[in-house]
Amino acid sequence: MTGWLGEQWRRFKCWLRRDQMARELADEMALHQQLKADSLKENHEPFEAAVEARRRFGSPTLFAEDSHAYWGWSSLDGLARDLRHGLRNLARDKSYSAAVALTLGVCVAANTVTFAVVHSVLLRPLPVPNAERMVLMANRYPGAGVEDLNTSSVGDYYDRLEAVPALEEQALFRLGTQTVEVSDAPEQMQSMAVTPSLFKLVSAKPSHGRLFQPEEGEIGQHQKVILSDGSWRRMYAGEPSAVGRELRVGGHPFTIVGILPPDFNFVSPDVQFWIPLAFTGQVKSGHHSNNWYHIGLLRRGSNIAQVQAQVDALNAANLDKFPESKDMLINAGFHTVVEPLEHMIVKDVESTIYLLWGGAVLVLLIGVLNIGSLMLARSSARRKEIATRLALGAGGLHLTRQLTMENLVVASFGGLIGVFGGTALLRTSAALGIDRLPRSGEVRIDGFVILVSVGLAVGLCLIVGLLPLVQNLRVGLSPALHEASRGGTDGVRWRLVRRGLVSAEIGMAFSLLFATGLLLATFRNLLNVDPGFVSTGVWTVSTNAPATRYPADADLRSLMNRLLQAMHGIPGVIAAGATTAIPLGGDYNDSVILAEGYEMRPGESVVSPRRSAVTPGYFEAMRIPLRHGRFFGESDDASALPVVIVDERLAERFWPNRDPIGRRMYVPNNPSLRINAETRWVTVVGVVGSVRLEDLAGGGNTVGAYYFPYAQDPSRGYTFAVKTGKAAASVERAIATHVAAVDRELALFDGKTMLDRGELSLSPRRTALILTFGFGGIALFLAGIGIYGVLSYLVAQRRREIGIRMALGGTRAGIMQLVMREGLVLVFVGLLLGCCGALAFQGVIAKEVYGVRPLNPTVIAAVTVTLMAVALAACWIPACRAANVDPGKALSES
Amino acid sequence: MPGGVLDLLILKVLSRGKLHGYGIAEHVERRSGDVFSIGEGTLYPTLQRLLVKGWVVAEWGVSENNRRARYYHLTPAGRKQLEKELAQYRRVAYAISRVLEPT
Repeated sequence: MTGWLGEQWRRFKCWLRRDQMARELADEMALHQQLKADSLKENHEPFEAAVEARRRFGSPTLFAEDSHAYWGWSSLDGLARDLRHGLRNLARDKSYSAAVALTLGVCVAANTVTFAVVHSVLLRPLPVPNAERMVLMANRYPGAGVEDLNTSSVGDYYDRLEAVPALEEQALFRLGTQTVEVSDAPEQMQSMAVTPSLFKLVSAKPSHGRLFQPEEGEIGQHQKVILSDGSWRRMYAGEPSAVGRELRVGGHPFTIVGILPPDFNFVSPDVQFWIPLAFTGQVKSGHHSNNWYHIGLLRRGSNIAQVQAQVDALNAANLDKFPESKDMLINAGFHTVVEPLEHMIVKDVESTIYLLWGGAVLVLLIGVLNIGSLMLARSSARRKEIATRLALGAGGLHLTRQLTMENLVVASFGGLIGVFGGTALLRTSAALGIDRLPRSGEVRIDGFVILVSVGLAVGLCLIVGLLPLVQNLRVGLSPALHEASRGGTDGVRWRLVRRGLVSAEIGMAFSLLFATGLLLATFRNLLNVDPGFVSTGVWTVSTNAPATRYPADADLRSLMNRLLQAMHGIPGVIAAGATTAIPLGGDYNDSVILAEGYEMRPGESVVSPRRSAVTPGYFEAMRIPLRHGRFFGESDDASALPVVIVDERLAERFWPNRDPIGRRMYVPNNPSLRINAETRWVTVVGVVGSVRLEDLAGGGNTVGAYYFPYAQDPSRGYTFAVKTGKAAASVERAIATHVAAVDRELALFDGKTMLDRGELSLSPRRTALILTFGFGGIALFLAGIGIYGVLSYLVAQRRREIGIRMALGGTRAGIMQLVMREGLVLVFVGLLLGCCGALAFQGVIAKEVYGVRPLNPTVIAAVTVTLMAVALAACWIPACRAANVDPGKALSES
Repeated sequence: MPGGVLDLLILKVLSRGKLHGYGIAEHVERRSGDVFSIGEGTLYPTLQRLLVKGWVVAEWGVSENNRRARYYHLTPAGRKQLEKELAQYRRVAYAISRVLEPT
């Protein structure tokens, strides 16, 4: 065997027999010496000859070692030796090793959890094939106050099928809840209505049966259903014969055509069944009724910009095609946004999640700086050892390798602790609120997450681990060997480096605490924000009246009357009503409304305020204040004069400084917004306070809201708000029994107290707050440890000097002052750095805060005081130790 | 002594027959008229390297004066390597002599 492979094989064989090889080599060299001695015998005495031979031969041990290099792989052997050496050193220095491993462990745990979230929610593609090529098209009307819409209309879908060749496949979908009758008991289940093309777009494969066929997207053939694996197992015990059976959805008979595999997860893992979307001809040509998510699959080789250009061209063409609505749409700023589907799903939480990861990385940096400072201290103590080894011939490279190995070992321990800690932390994800993030079901700690978080930590650790090496290798041997334990002159520079590290640590801790303070202030502001309603004692629960049993509007009205009557009969109920859009419920409608006689300025846009229908008693139950006029009453029924209640924001827009009561409004029924014979006029009877519908921070629609009486604008889905004098949840059961008494088959769902809805809406913020709070705490602790470490070391190094000072009459207070001053310089430099950091970060954090300026002086003051308190405590202990130095003892040492 | 030269010398010495380590060193020293002296510190590591390369093999035998000694001899691969290094050496030596020749 020759060549490289043969050489490796021979090396391996030698390595296997390395002990024997060593013995043989020793024998061989002994013979060599003997033969040499024999040849010298002519000129020397026998003994001298042997000595001379040995002297001339040199060091057999060294030659043997050089020879050993060819048996096996010397670098590997060396690594194993360094590993053993490192472990031994670490075992000897238990407190140091524990401190480093624990510090790193905590930092890695924080990083593992946050990076797991970053990776799973933001970075990993959606769990469907070709997710990276999926785009979402959303219509926006900023001028009309509609900026956060993610949907399109059916008319757009059919137009874009023709006009956007850059997309290979397109589909519409809509999430909802439907009543499904499972063994005669009604149940609300999450559903997704989809165009049959959707399954092709996401490359779904059924586990049983088939997917929808194109013709099932037409009315008449659309009563088909595909079940999720979970609902199939639950309802049909996983029986394959379920395919072909009938399932009643919303009261109508649907045929089960297929089952999707358990790992199918598109947009929401909670979807339990899919039904086809089928549209009437009128809907198919309807534009600007944006009720559907419109997604497309990029053709290979095409990009988003092409899609955007094609959609823009289509929109421009459509403006000219429908001249009557052209001006209105231009004024409203109508445009379509094309963006990656993945981005749409997570964009609300993206900045928060990145901010959290930034926090975790900051914690890691602080931890690593702390470790660096610890390593410097330790290596100062080991200078003699290292200098001795250098003097005995250890190479700088070899020492570097050895110390790096040692650091690698301890850092790996830290990483291990961190991964376990992070896994445990993620188990409590419900407490952290991680489970309420989008895509939270996919959050997990996998190999990549571990690689990145541990790799980052270990890498940084090894880099700071080089500091002590630079420190030691640059020292001349003789001063290091001769110097007293006091530390040589070179130590001054390295003490400065340590102080710099600690100051940087304090600065980072300050920045982190500052962010925590801002988030805390934000959260408090949001909790204290007046949402426009009173949550206390309000229970909310939703229902859906099935079309089969309540086909006409009259049926819906009478059902509502009976339900409200039943609720009023529950003891303890103060007020009860229903709305089609409960605040913080996540489901709203908006629609353009105009006021009679309101002249729009040229270029002014129409507005599309939030539209909902409410029953009498709703405003009372929610304690939404009445500003003018009256609430709805029983008399506002189908036969009465059509009426409307507007909120103050809308009233201010249409009738600034004038009384809106008695004025007339209309919802336009044609694109030109003109009044015609069919125009339905409504009269304003009341003005109510504005309500935070979408979230407590007041994002979303900014143009106000209007309410129709339910009796005049009935619909199938609504949410009850029931106000009690007791705890809100106490009426849950009573409501269920009373509703069942009216209609046993009516399914109630999404029951929550209004307070819980508020809490839920703050969930991502709460997650951010809890985690940054934790990070801030760790940072504070680490910074404290850092200060303590540097000062303790300083005191230990300067014992003699302190002893001399005391012997010369220095007071204890004076000595304490000396140490405290050292510490305070560190802290002030750190605070200064921290302020710079806060200034630099304010742009990032500005998006996350509400009702507090990014450079809020109160927060700055609070953070400074907290940090100072911890710093003082950390300085105090070494200062006391310094003050307690016994001059006699200190001077007699060494 | 330049790096590759030692390999060449050892291979050349062994091409005449098997020898033990001391023999190799002595042979080289004597033949070079005491110009080259192979230090033991380089000889034994080099021999290990040649072994691993597969150019020589070693076996234990008995020396002239009845001592147990390890004898090295060339393998076919070693012989090929010797040819290669000799050719290379001659090329270099020729080139050097051309440069040094008075013109």
